[in-house]
Amino acid sequence: MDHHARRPRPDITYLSRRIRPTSTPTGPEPGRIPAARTDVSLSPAPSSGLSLERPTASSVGLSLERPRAGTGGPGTGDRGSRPTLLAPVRDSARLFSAPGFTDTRQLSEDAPIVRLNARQSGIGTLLVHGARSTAWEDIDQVTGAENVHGETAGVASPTAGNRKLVAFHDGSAAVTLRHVQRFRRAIFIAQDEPLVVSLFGEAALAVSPKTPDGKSAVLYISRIDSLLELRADYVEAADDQAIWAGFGFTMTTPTHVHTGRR
Amino acid sequence: MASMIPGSNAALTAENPGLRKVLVAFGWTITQSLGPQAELVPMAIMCGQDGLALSDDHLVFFNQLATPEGSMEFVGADDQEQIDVDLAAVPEDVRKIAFVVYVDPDLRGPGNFGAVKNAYVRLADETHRELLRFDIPSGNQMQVKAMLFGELYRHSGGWKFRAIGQGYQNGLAGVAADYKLAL
Repeated sequence: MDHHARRPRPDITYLSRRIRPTSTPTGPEPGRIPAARTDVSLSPAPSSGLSLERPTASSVGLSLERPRAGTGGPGTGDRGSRPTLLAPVRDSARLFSAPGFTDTRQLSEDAPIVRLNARQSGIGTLLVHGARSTAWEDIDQVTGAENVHGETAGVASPTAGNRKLVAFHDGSAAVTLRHVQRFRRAIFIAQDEPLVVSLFGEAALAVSPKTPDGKSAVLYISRIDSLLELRADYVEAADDQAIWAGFGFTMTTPTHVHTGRR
Repeated sequence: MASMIPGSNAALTAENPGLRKVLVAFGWTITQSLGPQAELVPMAIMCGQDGLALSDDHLVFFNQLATPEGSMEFVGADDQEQIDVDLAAVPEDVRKIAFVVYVDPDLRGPGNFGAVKNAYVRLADETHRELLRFDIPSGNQMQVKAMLFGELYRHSGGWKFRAIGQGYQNGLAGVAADYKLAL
């Protein structure tokens, strides 16, 4: 398999391709931050997509073989050719291009992603109107959920301003953007009406609630460095717990139970 | 160290020859409450000859840490918030840098400056020697949701700092309108 022929999956935002620095003369200069790539197409590559085929012995997978000398990889002992450490590269400098929040009026199966800029991601409240429930995860992997009726699961993520990082407020789910650096990801499960996302400054966009084949919308919001990315996913009808599980949310067990101890 | 009053200015580089970088630090205390409380956010905006922001990227706050050319950076350390300015590297078309502190416009009880006490802005050099300090006068600030603390501005080939302390009742939206920022 030619790994270099693979192209990024624009629909999988939480995975990114890491390129090992090389010591070839064409590599980036030590300490220099590579420029953001702008030549990545959003159209899916013909060869991309998940495959359940068994990999061939010569293709991929972990190998316990000792790396050959001179490859420059970790553990090769080839320190002489190893480049000096690069300056830290902010994740947002390596993002594929995506529409901005005001570039589109509606997210759908065909146009599922927008990315907020740093100002939009850090000012005021991100509101999601029309959600039946939300589940969140903060940077400490504290996970919780709440539905529009106020029922909760897991653990809330408080912030310094005495507001929860993600919670329902007046029937809409709210994300406290002053503390966006504590935010890791969240999902917002739609009802039968469109989800409407709004930001400081009155900007708003809608999320189509269903696909023609009856799948329901789940808005997935993740933080990449200082930027929030919004993605519309569509899932078969299911209860909230099944959807949490589908998105990899496992509720944190509360520890503030009353034990009767003094 | 010089204490400033609203409207006063100080010849920052003339009085400190060789000053290349300046640390602009902000501090305050908030009257604690059990409910949602005001959360203050410092922001620095680079402005051109017309007094407007050079672009939306020419500002720094906690979630946008540096201007494109890197002469102004948001850092956090001893004070609540700090912003570093490399005076020598500030683009020539920047005529002033405005230092604003706004109450985050959260929809759930955003608050105002009424609960804010002992607010100040101070300027220090690279060795953290304090050069200027402006303590925001106390008073009834219940209507204030953002405040222009002061400005660094070019003057006769150098930089001066003006203490201002002007409140905005319309908060960050008013700041955005004044500087033509798309927030």
